[in-house]
This record gives sequence, C-alpha cells and structure tokens, in this order.
Amino acid sequence: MRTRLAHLGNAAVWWLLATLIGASACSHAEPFTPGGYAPGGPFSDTLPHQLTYNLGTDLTPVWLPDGGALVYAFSRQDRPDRDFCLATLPADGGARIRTICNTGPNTDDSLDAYLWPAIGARGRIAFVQTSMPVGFLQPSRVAIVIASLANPSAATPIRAFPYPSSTGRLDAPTDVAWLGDSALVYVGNTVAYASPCFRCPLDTLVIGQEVVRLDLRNPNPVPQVVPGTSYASSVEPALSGSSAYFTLGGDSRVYQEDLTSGAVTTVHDFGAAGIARDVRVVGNRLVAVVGGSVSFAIDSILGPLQRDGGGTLYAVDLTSGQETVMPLAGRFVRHPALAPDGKRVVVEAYAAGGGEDADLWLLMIP
Amino acid sequence: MRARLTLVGLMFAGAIPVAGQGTGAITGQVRDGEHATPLVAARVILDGGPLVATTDGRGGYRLREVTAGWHKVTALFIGYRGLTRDSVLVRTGQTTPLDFELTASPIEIAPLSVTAPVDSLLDPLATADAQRYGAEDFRRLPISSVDEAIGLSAGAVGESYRGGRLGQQAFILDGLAVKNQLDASTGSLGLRIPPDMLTEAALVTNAFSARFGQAVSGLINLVTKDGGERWQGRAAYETDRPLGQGGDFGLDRVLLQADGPLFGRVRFAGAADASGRLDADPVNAPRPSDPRDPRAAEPWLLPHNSGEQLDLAGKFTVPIGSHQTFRLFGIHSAEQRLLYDPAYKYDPDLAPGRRVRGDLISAHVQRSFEPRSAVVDLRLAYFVREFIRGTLAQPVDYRFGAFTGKSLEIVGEDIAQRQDSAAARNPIPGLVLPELSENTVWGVPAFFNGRGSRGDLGWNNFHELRGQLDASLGAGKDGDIYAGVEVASQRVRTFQRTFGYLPVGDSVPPTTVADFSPFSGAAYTEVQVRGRELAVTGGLRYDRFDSRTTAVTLNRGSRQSLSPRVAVSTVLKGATLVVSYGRFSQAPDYQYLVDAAFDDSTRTGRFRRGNPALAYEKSTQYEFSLRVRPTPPTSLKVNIYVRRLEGLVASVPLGVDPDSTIFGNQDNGSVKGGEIVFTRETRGGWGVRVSYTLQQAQATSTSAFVLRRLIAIDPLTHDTIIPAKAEFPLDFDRRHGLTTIFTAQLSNSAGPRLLGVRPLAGFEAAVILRYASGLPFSHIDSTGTLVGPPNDRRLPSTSSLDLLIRRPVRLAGLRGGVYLDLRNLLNRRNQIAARTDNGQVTPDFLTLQNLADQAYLAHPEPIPFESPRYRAAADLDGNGYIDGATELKPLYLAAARDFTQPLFFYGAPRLVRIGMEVVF
Repeated sequence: MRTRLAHLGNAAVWWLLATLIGASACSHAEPFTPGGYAPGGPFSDTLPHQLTYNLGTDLTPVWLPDGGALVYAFSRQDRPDRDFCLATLPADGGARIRTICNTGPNTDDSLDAYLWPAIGARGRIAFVQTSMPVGFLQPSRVAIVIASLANPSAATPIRAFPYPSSTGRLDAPTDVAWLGDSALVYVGNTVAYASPCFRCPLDTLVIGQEVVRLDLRNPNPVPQVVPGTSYASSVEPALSGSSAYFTLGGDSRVYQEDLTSGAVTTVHDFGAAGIARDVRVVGNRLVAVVGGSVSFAIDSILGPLQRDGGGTLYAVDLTSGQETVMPLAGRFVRHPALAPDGKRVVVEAYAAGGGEDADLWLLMIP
Repeated sequence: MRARLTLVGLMFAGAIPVAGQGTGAITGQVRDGEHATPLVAARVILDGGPLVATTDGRGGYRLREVTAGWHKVTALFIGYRGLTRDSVLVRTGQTTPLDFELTASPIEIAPLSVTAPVDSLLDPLATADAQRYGAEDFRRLPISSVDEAIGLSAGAVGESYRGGRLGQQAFILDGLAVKNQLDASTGSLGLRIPPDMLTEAALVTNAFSARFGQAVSGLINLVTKDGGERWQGRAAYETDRPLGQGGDFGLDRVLLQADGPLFGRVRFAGAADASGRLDADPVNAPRPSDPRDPRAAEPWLLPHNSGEQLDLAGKFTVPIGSHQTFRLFGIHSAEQRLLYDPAYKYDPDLAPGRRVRGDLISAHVQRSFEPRSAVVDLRLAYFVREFIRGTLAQPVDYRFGAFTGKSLEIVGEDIAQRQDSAAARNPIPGLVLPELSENTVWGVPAFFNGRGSRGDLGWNNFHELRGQLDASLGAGKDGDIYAGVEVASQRVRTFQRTFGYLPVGDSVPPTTVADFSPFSGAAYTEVQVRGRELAVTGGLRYDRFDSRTTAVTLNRGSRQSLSPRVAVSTVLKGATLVVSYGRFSQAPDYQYLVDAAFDDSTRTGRFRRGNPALAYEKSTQYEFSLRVRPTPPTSLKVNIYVRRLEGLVASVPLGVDPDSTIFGNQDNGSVKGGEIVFTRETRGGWGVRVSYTLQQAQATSTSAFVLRRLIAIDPLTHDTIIPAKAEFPLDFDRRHGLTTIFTAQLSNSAGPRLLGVRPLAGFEAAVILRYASGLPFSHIDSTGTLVGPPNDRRLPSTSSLDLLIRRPVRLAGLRGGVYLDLRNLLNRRNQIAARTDNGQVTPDFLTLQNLADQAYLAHPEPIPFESPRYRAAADLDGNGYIDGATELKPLYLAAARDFTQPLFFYGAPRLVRIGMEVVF
C-alpha cells in the first residue's frame, strides 16, 4: 500500500512535469506595442466635409481603383523646404495612412515635390517628380516616373522635362492619368514666370499646350501629341482606354476624342456657366469645374493664357445632359476626383477671396 | 555522500598553486604496506594510461598535467598486489596528495573507491587566489552561465575584476589561452561553454602562472569534461511561460549533455545550450506615470529586445599508444540580439540588431615521458569571432518563443564583409534617412525617430591560429620546472560606417576599414620548489607582439614585455601565508590600433584616430594571503593586495577639435583592496560562504584630456592652478561588496510522509545574497562639459537575493528533477546608472521643460486633423488643429517625459525560471 502511495506521489510530481511541458506550449506574454493614435474617421460627419486641414497646400487627389482611399499631394509644414509628398487618405477622411516622400540624402536644401499621382490597375503608380533647390525659381528636375505602390521609392523615370514639342517647349505635365494599363496621357504645359504688377512677386503660370500620350510598351516611350488638343486645360481618359475627354482653354465645352480615329465629339457644353476645365468622367457621370475665378486671354508674349483660381463644381448626367451645380460655400474648387462609384467627389478647395492654401473636401453628388 | 560533500566543497575551495591552469597534479609515495619502506620504480598510472609516473629513490612520484576532475589512479609494483584508488579529485592547478601502501602479493585486488583527502586551503603549494565553481555548482546554484558564476567571486564587478576595466581578463580553456584580442574592452569573447560541459570554472586573480599572459586583471579558467567510461547525460528545459504577464519574459532554454565511450578507448563529451528570451535584457524600471504611455499598462517586456543564443560543444578524447592522449575540442557559439532603442520606441523595427558568432577548434596532444615524469603538451587552436551590428533588413519572424531559426539579416552586411569602402562612400542601399516619428502617442515631432534607422553599420572579424607548447619536468619530488612557448598568427578586419543613409562627406565621417595580420609570441619558464613548510615559485614570461598594420606611423614595430612572477608560501601554526608579486601585461585591443568611425566606450566623440604604436597595458600586483581553518569544516581567507596599472589605453585630444582624438597609452591607476572569505563546508546538510571585498580603484592620469578639465582658479590669488596629475575613481571602483552563498540539502528520509511520499525528501536549496556599494559616475553639465573630476559621484548601493530550489524525482527508472530558479526574489529595484547631469534617474522639471521648449521651438507648426500626428484629445478648441503653445506644449512635455524614462538605469527585475531535467 505504501509503495502504491509512493508511486502516486511521484506520479503527482511527474504530472507537474507534464503540466510544465504543457505550459511550454502556451504562448509567451507579448511586449507592449504602440497603438493607433491617429484619427480614424472624418472630423465632421456632415456633408460636404473637409478632409484635410493642412496649413500648406493639398493638391491633385485621385481615387484608388477600389474607391477605398485617396492619394493626393500635400505640402509638408514640418520641414523648412516645404516638400510635397504623396499620401494615402481614407475615403471618408481621417489620418493619412501612408506617405511617399523623397527622403533621399541631401534633400534638405531643395524643394522636392511629388505631384499628380495616377493609380494604375496593376498596382502601379505614376507621378511627377520635381526638385528645385531652395531659393531657385525653376525646378532643376521634372520627370514622370512609374513605381509600384508597394515600393514607390524605387521609381523609374519614363519622361523627363522639359522637352521640345511641335508647339514649343513643354516644361511640365499636369493631369497625368493612365490610359489603359500600358499608356499614360497628360497635359503638356509650358511654364512661365511673370509678375502681375510692378514689384509684385513672380507668379508661376502653367499654360496648357496639348494632350500628350505616352505608350509605355516602348522601352523609351516617345510623347505623342493627341491631335486637336491645342491649349488643352485638362484630360481624362475614358475607362475603355480608347478615347479621352478633354477641355480647352477659354472653352465651355467638354470634348471626347477617339484616340484611334481622331474623331472629336462634344460631350457637354456648359455654355454661359463659363470656362470648363478639370473634367472627370466615371460611367455616365461627368464632373468639371466651371466658371469662377478663371480668365482666358491672348498674352502678347506668352500667347493664349488661362489663369485659373478655381471655379464651381458641376456634375452632369451624360445620359440626360442634366447639370447639377455643387457649390461649396465661400470656396472655389479645382481638380476634382470622381470616385469609382460615381457619387463621391473630392476637390481642392480654395477660399473664394484667396489667401488660403487648398484643402481637400468631400462632396456627394445628389 | 562524501563524494557529494567534496563536490559541494569545490565551490568553497580557496587556493591553487601556480601550476598550469586547467590541470593539476597528483603526488605521493608508494610504500611497502608491511614495512613502510619506499618502493622504488613502482608505476603509478592515471586512468589506465597513458599518463604514468615512476617512483623515485624515496618512493615518491608526481603525475603532472592531470586534467581537473575525477580520476582513477593505480599503483603497480612487481611482486605486489596492485592498488587502484577510484574517485581521486584533481583540481585545477592543485596538487592532490595520494599515497599507496602495497602488500606483497601477485594477485591484483579489486579497485577500492576512496576520495583522496586534501586540504587545499592550507596547502602551501597553492599560491594563487582562485575562486572556483564546479559542475555541481552550476546545477545547484541559481546561476546559468560562466559569467554569472564568476560574478559571485570576491572582487568581481560584473566582468570587471579587482577594479580593472572590461577586457582585462583572459580565458583559459583547457589550458589554452583564448581572448578576443580585437575588442575585448567593448565586446564579448564570442564563445560560451555550455555549463553542462564544464568540470569547473575558476577566477584567478593573482600570481597566475607565467604560462599565461594577455591579462592584467585575472584569468577565467575553464575546464571541460572528458567523456566518461559509460554513457551518461542530462536533458533540461527551463521556461517562464507559466508565470504570465509580469513574470513571463519569454524565456525558453534547452540544455542537453551526453558523454561516454564511442569505440575502443575513444570517448566523447558533447553539450548543447539553446536559449531564447523575448526580453533578453529585462529592466526593473518603474511603470510610467502617464497612463497614455503604451508601456504603462504592460511595463514588463520591452519590444525589440529579444535575444537568442546557441552554444554547441563537443570533445573527443583519443588515447594513442601508452604515453599519448589526443583531444579534439570544438565549440560554436552564436548569439543574436535585437537592441531596444528608446528613440525607436514607437517604430521598434528600425532599432538595431546585433549578431556575434564564435568558433573554436582546438587539438591537444599530451605525451608523458616516464623516466623523468615529464609531460609535454602541444596545443593548436583556430579561433574565429565575427561581429556585426546594424539595421535589420526585415522584421524578425519568431518561430518558437524568441527563436527565429535563422540569422538576422543586417542592411549592408555584404558591403561590410567585402570591406568595400568605395561602395560605402555612397548611401548604403536599404538605409533610409530617419525622421521624427509620427507614430508616438504624443504625435508631436520630437525625440522619437521613425521611417529610417540610425544608419550605423559595424562589422569586424577576428581570426587567430595559435600554437602552444608546454613542458613540465620533475626536478625530484620537491621541484618542478615548467617551460613553454606560444605563437599566434592573427588577422583583424574591421568596417565601420555611420550615417549610412548619407554619402560620405561634410558631416559624415569616412568609412573606416582595416585589414591587418598581427603576430604575437611568448615564452616562459617557471620553477616551483617545495619544502616541508615552504614553497617558492618563480617564473618569467616574455611577450611580444607586432601589429603589422599598414597604417602610417613613425613608431611602428613590435612591442615587448617582460613579466616576472614570484610567490612564496609557508605554513604558520595552522595557517598558511602566501606572499606574491607579479607583473602582468596585455596587448591593447586591436580596435585601438585602427581608426574608429563612431562612439566607443572610452570617452566621447565620433571619430578617433587609431594608433598602431600602442604598447602593452601593464599591471604590477603585490598580495598577501592568509588562510586559516578555525574548525575542521570552516575556513577563513584574507587577501590584501595592491595593484598598479600602467599604460592603459585612453583617447587623447588631437588638435583642437574636441571630436578628434587619438588612442594612446595614457592612463595609469592603482587598485588597493582586501578580500575576506569565510567558508563553512557543507556538512550536516548545509554550508555557507561569505565573501567581503573592500577596494579602492583609482586612475592616476597625466592626460591633458583630463587635466584640461581640472584646471582651477585660486580664489585668493586668482592664479591658474594646473594640477600635475589627476586622480579619480576608476569606472569599476566598487568600495564594498558582500556575497553570501548558502546551500542546504535534506536527506532522502527527511520530512513527513504524505500519500506515501516524502515531499521534502532530497530537497535542495541554494540562496545567494548580494550587497554592493555603488559605482562611480561623472557629473557632466548640459553643455557636455565635465564638472569636477571624473567619477566623483556614486550610485546608490544594490542588493539582491537569488534562490534555487530543487526536488529530485524518480519514476519508472527515470531520474530527474524539477527546480525553481528565482533571481532578485524580492524584486528590488537596483539602480545601476544615473543621469550625468543631476545624478538622478530622471531629469529635473526644468530640464524636462527645457527639452520640451526646444522641441516646440523646432516644430511650432500646427498639426492638422489629417496628419497622423493629430491627437483629438489635444485639440482643445476642436478646430481641427493642434496649434499654439496651449495645445502643443503639453504634448511636447509629455513626449520629453516619455523619452527620458529611466529604463536602463535599473537592473533586472525578479526573474523566475521553472525547470525540469532528466538525468540518464
């Protein structure tokens, strides 16, 4: 009996051992981890609502293909050189999820800007890289680059600026967008610096010259001017990639050109509402900025020149041609981004009286 | 039981003679048992050969170079019955007396198991101070590594011994000198012997044999076990998983050991020690006061602070013929650590990582020459140590606990290993310019880094091929002569790059690369003469090294050092007095021969010029040691020593640039101290050892680097007083140290019987109590200027209580045990560092406020809502911005408080490990 009990007692110790071994299968305690402290939703739920409050400028929003987030360019206020970075912003607002900046060596003494993001269907991003030494007037480097969204720092330049064109020298691209998954379109611009008055600071004038197409299937893509787009002020490729919508300086109409045949049709005319620009189209929904603080004139030196301080957002049902005016109280807008669902629009908004840098606002099309 | 008592007594052993470290000797007389007459030309055989001694005209014999451990000794004489004594314990450097009385008979009797009686404490042949720890100590005490065991010794402060700097010790592994000659003062040896592989570890702090050099503070003597006559081993697993949060630091440790015969007379011993811990350097820092701090809720584990190590060791023992033994020993140690950096608290993956690998293979041939009892040992060893530290190429992926199962990848590792300084002029691919983190709980851009790492990349590789020939020759029964030579051909390769995300130039120092092949050699001779109550040992060692660097210097070439060592010991009425004198020298760390691109531990600065003309660092030590045995089980040892340090490497100014310095043999110092060790050997189930150290370690510097800061203006005459020399405490000047080790073991019939079992039967316990006065530190003001002499302030004292309890378990033929190992049982919060500006662990409020204000002034810009820095609670007016001093400054202040948390100012918290073991 005593022996049996002794075995039992020892068995208890071995049971303890087994427990220990079992415990070893448990997971360990985890070190503390930083939480997510940034805002997770919009500042205000009422529409339209302000997405960004940056005291610097927020520019050129574009939607990710799934409509879940935006990519835009913002001016950094925490650096003296005020670099522009690209950032991803949740669709409904909140904190920037990710930023893409030029963090290479020796960037402190130059204004390095990433602008005009365009998101491709295969996880690629095209954008414009510029770099300008602090104190200089003109950028020392302008290029369209392509990278994967996963590793945007490893970007490949595909078109450097300036380059000569049939209409003169093109200094910078705007409205960069994917045309299908193997071509880009953009508006080629000349850039001039002029003072609007005696002793006024120089103003940068971006003068749209033409719509340009870059076929990326060519290892060294050659810019191809899209005929009939002289003095283009904006471009938007159709979803099919076979045609593109565009606007012209001083013109209230929105055009569509078949890129194969070259046939141009007028999609919509805003008429007396004013000059149309910044056209975006999703399905049968078209939005554009119309009227507002915009002027078009033939400058004796610079030629046709459209000065644009923003306007009013219009939405058009292309099926019926019905226009919906979407005013933003006290503000003019530019560069709208129409979500893939065709309902949400994010715009750059400027105080109508001037004096404020642009912020992004979200509007819903009724 | 006697054997166990003797084993336990190992740790209390007091002294050893100056014989070769790692080996001892057996001496005695073979007599006729009936007439007590000496038997001449009798043979005394160790472990069946090949080590054999023949008795001289007085029947005396001496077996030299006997590996420490248990042995079987047989005496044979024609016409007499052979006599075998089993379980003869030989300790490192110690002479074990063993007499034989043979009876005339042709029949050999069966071996008789005895324990050789020896009183090492009073043995006048034992002249050196050695504090030893046997294999049983590693099992029974709350220690888990050689470092921890040696740290229990009197005079040890971490890895500093008798006030010396780090790296002033050498390792003797089975009689072979092993040292990280490249950066011992700032780095580890790179090799760790699994404790289960050890027969004993000992710290020798004076009068060590002339056989050994390359150390001025002490020797760490390690003896590994040979394979036994039958297979035996141990497997153990330790963890702290069941303790949950607050006690679970992510520990997993597996120990395996086995040894036994392979075939013929070939034996093998091998051990593996694999451990991982999610927080490899836990600290007992208080919980942060701000509940928003992510550490506030779970303050125990630090992120990105894990470590894992693997140590493998194997040893083949091959007797060749009747007079030779060949031993082949190999060890592989690999350690990798993630290093928590408070600046990367919120982006921990960007904090650095470190990898250290060490490999050693050594061959040892021992041949004995019977007629003169001579023994010759030839050792060849190849040692490689590689170190890299930098940014991790990718976050670690843990497989089990803290084990990743693969090597950490460091960004730029290939460039460093190629020593491609041309490529390294450009930014290192994969390194990104750091920015102020957006991920902090405070949001504001201050103190904490993100996006990119610090950009440091350091790599070095040290190879050494060492040959060592030692001979011992008997000069009669009362004398021994030792002589030997050693040569080492080394290769040093280093690579250091800082700010690797920037190109070299302007503010970025150039990449430093070195590749050179030093050569060092030494020769020694030593004589030991013994009388009845007097022993004299004298030795002389000659060292020489040539850095053979390619650096341009006017004073390049070989350096030499001559080191005499003398010890006299005598017995005085139940006491033994040892007087010793020794000069010791070590070549400077080779890292100081070449340029350094970033901080070293010597002083401050970011670039230092190497000095190929550096000479030996030296010390001279005088010591008196008195040993008495008041009662049979107790002993008392008192050591008083004075040690003078000369030519220690320091960095001294070069030109007027405070960041531009050169290394030189500039610092001197002195250490005076006394040690008292009281021991009660384990009898009646318990034993105790109490050691107390009183010490003063001061530097005496004539360095302009120091003097410049000590210039004073006489308040009366207004004369400028330039001191001729400056004295200040050395970094490891610990004045008082007290260590108490208490062990107890209950018998197998102890305690009440419950359910047929005695729960307390065989129960073992060991307690270590430590108290130490505080170490010194310097007062440096906010501008970085030293205030007053260096090291003129002191940290508070520290104490700890460690406990290990073990319960043997036996079931179904399996033997084993469960144990509980508790370190810092009382969870005492020991302060081990202080801020140099105020001597406290945290900055005072004004300093904190100043930090916050400076950070605010650097970034006063409003934080908009969409910024990842926006914190809604700080937007007091709800306007979508955190703006203005009212809203921003509290965040900056909180961030400053967070950043200055005194994490590493505290020692380890209570650490618990639960272990289970199986012995076979």
